[in-house]
Amino acid sequence: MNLFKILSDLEQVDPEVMGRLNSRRDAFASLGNIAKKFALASAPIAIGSVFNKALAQSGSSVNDVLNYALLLERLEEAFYVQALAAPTLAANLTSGSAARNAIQKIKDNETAHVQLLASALGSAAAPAPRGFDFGNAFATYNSFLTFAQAFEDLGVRAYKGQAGALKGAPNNLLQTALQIHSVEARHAAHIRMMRRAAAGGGVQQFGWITNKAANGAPEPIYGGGNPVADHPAEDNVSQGGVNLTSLGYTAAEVSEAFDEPLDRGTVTTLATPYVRA
Amino acid sequence: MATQQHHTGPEETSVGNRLVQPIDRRLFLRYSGLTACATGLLLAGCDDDDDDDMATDAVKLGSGDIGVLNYAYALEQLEAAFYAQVVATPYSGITTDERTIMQAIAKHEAVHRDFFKAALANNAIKGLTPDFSKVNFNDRTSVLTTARTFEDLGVAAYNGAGPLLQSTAFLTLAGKIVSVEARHAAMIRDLISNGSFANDVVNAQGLDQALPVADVLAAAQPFIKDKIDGSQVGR
Repeated sequence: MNLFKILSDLEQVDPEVMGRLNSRRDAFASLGNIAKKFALASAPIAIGSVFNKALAQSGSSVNDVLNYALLLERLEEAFYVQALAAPTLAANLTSGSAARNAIQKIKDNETAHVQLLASALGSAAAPAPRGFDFGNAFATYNSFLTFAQAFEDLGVRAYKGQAGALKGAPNNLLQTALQIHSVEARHAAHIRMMRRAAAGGGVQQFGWITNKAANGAPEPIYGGGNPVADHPAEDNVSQGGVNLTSLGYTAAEVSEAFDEPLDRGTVTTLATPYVRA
Repeated sequence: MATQQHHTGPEETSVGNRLVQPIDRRLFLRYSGLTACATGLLLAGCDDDDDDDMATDAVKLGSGDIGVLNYAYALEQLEAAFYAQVVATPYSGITTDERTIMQAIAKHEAVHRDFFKAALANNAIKGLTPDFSKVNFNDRTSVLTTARTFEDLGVAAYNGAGPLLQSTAFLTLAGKIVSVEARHAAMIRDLISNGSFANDVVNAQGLDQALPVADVLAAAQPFIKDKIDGSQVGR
């Protein structure tokens, strides 16, 4: 834990933070106590509550972002827990099968994410919802995989949309979020290939998103967010002001090469139907 | 003595102009401070590593955000060149799906490479010369394990470099690319061994790798003939 780095990060976000503490020594003492508390925990991230207000930026405090991520991770975890237990999927997710092992591995990753985020939030962690209701998602193996693809791709977009809000947060929280984000993308790719395999190659997709093809998943997951200029649909071909089709690539190729962020409001709207508050 | 590397704030560059990222005044002052450090005007408090023994003809990635973008550009050049070769000389026994996957990834990496080149404009490093002499392009295992190295390394590089970026616009752009690299990594891993999409690179906390610039460049250097100097990236 690099205290100097954290302090300089904090000052970058909020130059007045030091004024709210009695002294620089106070800040070190507070951070030191937090470091001790977290020293035995394996979590690489620890948030000093004294700084949470200081870190609020663009109406999106770090805790809010982490609680938002925690809810999505809880949703994903519950989805796979229910899938692994669903009698309707037992014939496909047989013990020792590649499919079950993959789903178990993804579920374990989601559980780890839940624990990591919950421990980072500590007492600031929002209570878990009453439960999650995925309707008829587990009716068939194909519907299960389609939902899984939807949740993983949505997760990738959701994390991507929050990177800016975590910039400058202490304890390299941004990097931790990025490290979760790329794991969700690995999941998304594998689930997509599981769908392709289950359809005997009949699903015309690979591990990435071509244009904004939902392939049976809810289309808004691949659509534009709010504001759309910052959260374009997945078929966006313009990056950093450069229309990349002008470089000689097809729109499909360009869209596949970039995943797009999605805003919290849109993600929350898409996830809410499955949450029992 | 610190390397005489002029630090260019993104707002002064064509990338910055295109991305239109307003820079907070406080951040701008920090940039100025960094510039002073980089140019050796202020010695106290600057912790730049000096690399006196770096070959003088090394390709300098540059400093600040430009350095990070050139770092990504260098890696994308490497990946694009590798997959272009895979597509040109497919390994023996390649399946239809595998060929489709390799062709698609080759396109994605070429798009990434050309995007960085266009965005960096006159700040871009030169085209690098790859060295794939250790890769047997006729052998599936050799090709796929090299691909796995590149993809996992790319993910770890972007994850490690994200926090170095000052510009939120650049951070978002890097995020748009890293998840595609992670999708590639998962698919290549599954081609090697189905179900290994998130194996050893994902730790018990469910976190992917994140590596510092120096570690990534050390791993990539054997595949690049030009000597790469990333000592000022993100500084």
